[in-house]
Amino acid sequence: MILFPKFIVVTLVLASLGLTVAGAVTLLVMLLRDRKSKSIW
Amino acid sequence: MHQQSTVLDPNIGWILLAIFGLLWVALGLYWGRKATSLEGFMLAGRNVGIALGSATAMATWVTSNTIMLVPQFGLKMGIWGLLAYSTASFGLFLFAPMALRIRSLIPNGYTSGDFIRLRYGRTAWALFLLISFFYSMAWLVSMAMAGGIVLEALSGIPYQYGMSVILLVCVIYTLVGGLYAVIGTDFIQSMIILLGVVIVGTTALMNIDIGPAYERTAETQPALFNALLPVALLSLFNNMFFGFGEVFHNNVWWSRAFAIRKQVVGKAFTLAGFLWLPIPVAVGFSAIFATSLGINITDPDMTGPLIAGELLGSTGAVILFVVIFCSLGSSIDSLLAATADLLTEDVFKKMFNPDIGDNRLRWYSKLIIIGLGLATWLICLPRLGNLMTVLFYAGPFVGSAIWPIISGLYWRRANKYGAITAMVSGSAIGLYAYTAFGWYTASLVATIVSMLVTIAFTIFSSTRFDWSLLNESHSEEVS
Repeated sequence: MILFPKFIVVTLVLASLGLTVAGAVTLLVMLLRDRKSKSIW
Repeated sequence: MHQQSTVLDPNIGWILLAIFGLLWVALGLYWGRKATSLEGFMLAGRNVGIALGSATAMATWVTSNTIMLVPQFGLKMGIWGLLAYSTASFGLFLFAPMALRIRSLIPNGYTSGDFIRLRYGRTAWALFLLISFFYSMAWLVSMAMAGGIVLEALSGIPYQYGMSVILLVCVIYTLVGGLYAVIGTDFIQSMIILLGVVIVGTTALMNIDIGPAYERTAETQPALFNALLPVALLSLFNNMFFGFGEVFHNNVWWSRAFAIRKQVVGKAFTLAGFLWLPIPVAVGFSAIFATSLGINITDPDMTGPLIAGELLGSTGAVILFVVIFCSLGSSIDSLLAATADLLTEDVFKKMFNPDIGDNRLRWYSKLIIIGLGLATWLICLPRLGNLMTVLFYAGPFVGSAIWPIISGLYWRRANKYGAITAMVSGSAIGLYAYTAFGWYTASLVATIVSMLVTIAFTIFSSTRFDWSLLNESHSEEVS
């Protein structure tokens, strides 16, 4: 049986949490930019 | 270890339901003031920016299944199970260029049905509407049922009450605010979902000494890290094609393609894909290490709540409750609005009342939303367990619609005979695969059959479709 190496598992977990945080921040930044340019709707 | 039957006190559950239910209704009323025309009510004025556009696409795709089922995937299929679930985001990535093309080809379109009718004619349109309505209803019913079941499991709120409250709240704010209310609440719901996922995931990571936990799990349950787990690999492709079929055909996504501003529609769907991609791994990785965390999963359906409750106590249970309530709300409101649009625009107007004015149509649209909510409530009320499996049967149907949509958008040679044959043969053979080989093959088989049929009909076609025929003004009637 070929197993996923430990570093891949750790990288996956850290990357997923990091991307989720980055996604939330990006959404907020986009909202502020849309608000500034009056283009939310 | 938690041995109690629910992870949250029922009174706290009711308080949370009341707070968030009132919040969504109030926001629906607030944003609903903008919906002064039919276009405003159905498509939020076709001018939604990138922030709200990305958030609504992401939040709609995060269902209660994403939060509740993903930990089970991790528990049973390990790493590949989580990666398989993540592939559902590929539908959003691939829909990004399609959404841009949709806005260019059909600038005045309202629904996915409009495209099929103008591109392939009435027979294909009727068939497509049947598939789309069957799938949307199955999804809507399964979400409402899941809402009742999950709230009961988490907090002990009786199924009928939980299901009714969620449905009622979504019907009210969709009714008063249309797509403005749906998209506005989706933004707040998506932020809560992302925040909740990060809090639970980070706490889990801090509690797991991941090096030794990996060694221990690899020794006791090596299958969870098996890089070549055949069933998980099959489920990966099946999930991916199911995601393609769902996103490409369903009016939930088409209505957003029409609603988001043309200049940012492609970027909005791409960003939504990136927002969705990491969620299954972030939500489900802790389940792989459940044994290492000393959590005894007695009921696999409660894997997520048990882990959140164990790691964060009652705070974890509250976070999970709110995240699930948000994920349910963001999916149910979108399904209500998009399915009502399909019934209003394609069935009520185009089939039976072509001369009806926009103001009256908007009034009927509201009646259809109420009717849809009522029908869903009546179907869900008896809590028939086998209704949930209906959604799985929808896999082959949506898989069979992928190629007629893609070829119809990009290939002049694609024609109605190919589209109809692809949808019928793909659905039939996909259903056979479901019963003969298992759920994890159904969408895959349906998509491949649909693809081969579409390509064959396109190669031998003498049709050269005129794209300008898709540019129909809303008041025009179709021959």
